[in-house]
Amino acid sequence: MTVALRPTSLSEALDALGANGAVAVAGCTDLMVVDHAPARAHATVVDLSRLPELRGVREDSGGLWIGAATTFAELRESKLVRERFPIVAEMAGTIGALQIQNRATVGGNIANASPAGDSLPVWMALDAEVEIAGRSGSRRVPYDEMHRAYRETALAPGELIVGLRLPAADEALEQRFRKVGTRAAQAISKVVVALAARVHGDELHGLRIAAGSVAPTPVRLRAAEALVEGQPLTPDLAAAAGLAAAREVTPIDDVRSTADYRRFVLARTVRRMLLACQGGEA
Amino acid sequence: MTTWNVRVNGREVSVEAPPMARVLDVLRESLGLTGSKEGCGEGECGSCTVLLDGRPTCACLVPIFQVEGRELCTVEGVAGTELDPLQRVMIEAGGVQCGACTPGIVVSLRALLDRDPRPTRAAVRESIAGNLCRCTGYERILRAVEELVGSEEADA
Amino acid sequence: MSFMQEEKRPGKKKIKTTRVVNGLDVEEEVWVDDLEAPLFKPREECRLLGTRMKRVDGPAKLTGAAEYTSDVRLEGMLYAKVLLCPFGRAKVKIDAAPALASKGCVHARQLVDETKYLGQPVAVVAAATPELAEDALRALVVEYEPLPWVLDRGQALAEGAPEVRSRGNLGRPTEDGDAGEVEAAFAQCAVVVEQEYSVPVQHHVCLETHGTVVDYRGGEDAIVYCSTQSTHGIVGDAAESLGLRKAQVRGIVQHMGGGFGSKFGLERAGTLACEISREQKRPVHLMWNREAEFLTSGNRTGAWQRVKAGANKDGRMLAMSSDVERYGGIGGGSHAGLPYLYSVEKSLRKHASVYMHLDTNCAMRAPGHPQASFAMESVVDELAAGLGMDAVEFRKRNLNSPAHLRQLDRVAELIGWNEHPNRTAPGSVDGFEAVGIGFGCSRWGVGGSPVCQVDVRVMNDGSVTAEVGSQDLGTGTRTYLAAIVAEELGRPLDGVQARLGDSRMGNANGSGGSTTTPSLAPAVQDAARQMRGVLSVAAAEHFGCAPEEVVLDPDGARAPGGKLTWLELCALLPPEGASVRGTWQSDLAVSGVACTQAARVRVDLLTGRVKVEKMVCLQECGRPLNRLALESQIRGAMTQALSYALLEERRVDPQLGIALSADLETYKIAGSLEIPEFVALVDDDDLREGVAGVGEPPVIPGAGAIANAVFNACGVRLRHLPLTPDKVLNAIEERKSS
Repeated sequence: MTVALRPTSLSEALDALGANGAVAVAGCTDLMVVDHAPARAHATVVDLSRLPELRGVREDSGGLWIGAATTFAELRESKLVRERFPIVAEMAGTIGALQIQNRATVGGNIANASPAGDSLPVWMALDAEVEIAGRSGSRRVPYDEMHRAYRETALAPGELIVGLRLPAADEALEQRFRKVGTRAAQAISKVVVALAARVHGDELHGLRIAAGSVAPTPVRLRAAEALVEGQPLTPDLAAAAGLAAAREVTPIDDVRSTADYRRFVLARTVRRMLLACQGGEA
Repeated sequence: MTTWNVRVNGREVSVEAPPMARVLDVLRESLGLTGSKEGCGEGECGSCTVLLDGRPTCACLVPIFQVEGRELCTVEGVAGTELDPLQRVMIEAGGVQCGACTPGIVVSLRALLDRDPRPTRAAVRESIAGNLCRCTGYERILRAVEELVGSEEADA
Repeated sequence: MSFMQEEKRPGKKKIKTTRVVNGLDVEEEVWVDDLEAPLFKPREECRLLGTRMKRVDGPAKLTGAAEYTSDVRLEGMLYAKVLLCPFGRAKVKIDAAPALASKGCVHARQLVDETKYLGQPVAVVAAATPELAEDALRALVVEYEPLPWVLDRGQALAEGAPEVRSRGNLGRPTEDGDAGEVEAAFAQCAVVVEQEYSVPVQHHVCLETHGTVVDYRGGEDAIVYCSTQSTHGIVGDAAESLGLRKAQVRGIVQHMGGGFGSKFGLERAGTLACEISREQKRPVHLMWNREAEFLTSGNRTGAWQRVKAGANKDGRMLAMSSDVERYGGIGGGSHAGLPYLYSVEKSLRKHASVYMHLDTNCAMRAPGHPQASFAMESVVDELAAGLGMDAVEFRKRNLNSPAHLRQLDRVAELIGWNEHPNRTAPGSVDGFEAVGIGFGCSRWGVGGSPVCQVDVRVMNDGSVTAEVGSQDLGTGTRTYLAAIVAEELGRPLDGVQARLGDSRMGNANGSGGSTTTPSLAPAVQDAARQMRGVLSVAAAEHFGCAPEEVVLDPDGARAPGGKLTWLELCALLPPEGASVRGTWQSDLAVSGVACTQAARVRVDLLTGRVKVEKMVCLQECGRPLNRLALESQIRGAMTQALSYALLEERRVDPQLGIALSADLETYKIAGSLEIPEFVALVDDDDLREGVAGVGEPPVIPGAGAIANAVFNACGVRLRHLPLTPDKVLNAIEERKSS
């Protein structure tokens, strides 16, 4: 029978995770799906959901620190999040339905590392940094380096995600998020895109666009970014950036959609989001 | 087996179960609370929705060890001796047919109304977006809440 | 009116009565209800029937107290579970010994040596708890040797394909019509459309899965609790599986979580539960899980439909030929046939089944009809567009029933067609979004079966019961069972206790084909009126008047001679009370109900997403019994049609031989955010006295209406359901580039 541990501190948790066959859990929304017998087959589950070190949303040198055990419902409800990073709250509202948002956590979504994880492109676009703890100490990983391959993260065995740091957002920071799913709720994305940039006149600076469900991992759309960065943003340029985005991704046909459709919609979504930064079509 | 102490529908209960047992199975098998239904076992249909510390949660996705010392409310706990006004309007408006999804929907709506006594139609729709119904077409469920809170607002 | 002519009023008769006027006895003739004629009271006299009545089982369902099959808990009960074959087809070798050795497991066995379809159950286990049963399943040592399979049309019809049936994978086609006449008729047409339309396999997705709980502990009696549409229908199969006689088995169906046609018999879960119970002499609980529900509990036939149709310049359809392939897995499939509802002067049709290694089709809410309707409504719309003719007007020229003609006008008005700009030509693909309106019609046979036996009993303490071994699928059977009796006896709705779902009660048919109401309600009314006769006679003896002069109302009984309260009236009955049995009355059942629907959609031209904004339905049902239940059925049917149009599709990977949509994550049904504004109306211009069921007809035309609305919005014709954003967007791009 599985041993379920509920450590009360980070160091206890790290000790527990060092054991053979130990697996970290929090909201359990991925672990318990369908046939929970495999869940019981893990030798040890280590519950991180109530570790004080992993909880809360607070100011952090002008930016925000978000604990890994924060649920998506808590993100939606956080005044700090809504004021500073409205796309984080918006994204949180598209995760599953309320029943899932009330359980699923920020850290769980990152560690599960589904290419369709809705939160991942948002952290990428906002240039987040992941705070990781292990028994030999803690380290910080830029979000861009977090997802290495299909369902493979930068986490080493025995490590866990403590939280995320989001750099300061000022008034000039434009943030956009769009999810295209099968159904309005409880739908895994066909395409999900997040964008952040600072607007200077008709130019976008520090542009970061990231997308999910279009490659084996969430990806930055660097070709699209490069086209637009610091240039006067015209409808033609936005369209060109959309096409560049579609060319630089590697989506697949699956049960939720086709590769062609994903490319097509990605191109349009990127174009629309860019134009929206200037108050254009939304 | 381990003994777990949980507050269920306002009553302290102790129940024996393996730590990874689903809360849904504990409710239905050990506590005889069969109002929560299993529709899919993967958090998609919402038929097993219960309140965990006041928040709607799919009981099929929660292992019992995580609710030690916490509070659960099932459909059986929504009403006292009389029907809850929400249950009454659901019947009057015709928000129920086969009834298999109904317990989960009642729990989801009760949680919404506890947080927001005058929800918009959009909020009501969202509150049951994780509850599938194959019979009614949902509209009368939305209408029931509107009748209860006295609003007749159309969709935003 | 000629004075020679005897006036007739249905359900009424004239009697002579004496009345005291100004101190004088005056004899006069009055109209009274004919207690021998089991008709309903006139609509305007009804207090309950035809209104919006609250369902009598509402409180039980809203509080979780309603006991469904899956909720039955019995002392010593075993939980059984099945293992499904993950391949299209395979030879199976199972070592059950490790499962039998696992904790709490008392039964584990292999079910087949070689599977016939993807997902077929290959083993069953039973153990003391659900978790132990799951552990036992996992302990089975299973070896599969995959065999060649055919999971799509291409594989099925390929040369040398493995045969699903011994006579080949293409069934013998049935044909009817005269090719020569049809060819000649095409020559007269001003417009001809030749296209292919397809619909996917759809699943029922009952929220309560299939399953049975058997209470048998050895001995001579068994109770079988089953999630079924036929309380009486399960008894024979259960008796056989238990090794008992039919009279020794009692079927119970108190509440059931939806059937939609998939739960007519005991089904596989039920026979397995009975077999294990027989062997173990213990109660057994076996409910399918959601995966089994998708893979092995039936489905709606998929179809490929090649259609050629033509109309003259006046918009009359002159010719049609259709070639339909039905995809019913290992079953033959069902298809209602073209030209479906419309009248076409000359038509020719050919139907054939293509067999595959997939679960068999079964009845599903209007079996065969939505498939045919989708193709037909699309073709009709294409012809109208080809002629530049208003889609409503074109339909009216090709439909015969007056009901459809009047419904089309009313529905067009309610959906806003008359103010809509795209009445004779569709909108364009330019811009961000487009709004369109589409229509569809259906007709359903209904009609009643004469088998129901309804017992109504009044006790001398005033309590009333109405009982019959029918079942309430959630549609409201229990409520009208009580209401019809309450109406006739002048009682409040809660003054009659309705009992059903027990095979020890009077006979009743299975609930299918929307025939429950027209089969059962007439028998209830017969019993109710008989009981009213019994009470009227008792009161008449008391008052010294004719029984027909007695009026039963919520206060009790009154007659020219005085008044009795209900309790006083019932106290006149003998100690054992009074009971009557009602049977079917053909006058009270109608056959043939028409339905017309319209849908308004908004198409996102940049992503191809279709949002249904409004749906209108006008549905005939003869005499409405409970409007709340009827309207709910109509809205629910429209929602299923919307879901069929936009979301639902069974998918498999034919190469890997695996299922891709056997859960609710990959097989989406419409949720609360997808539903449009509904206008669900009972057609009150249908003045027939009999009743009809409306479970099926409103599910038929919705998908065609939605696809037509997409065309109307932006001029792209989607001929293959479901209308997923990728297909819609492709079509939009094609139109842009053409």
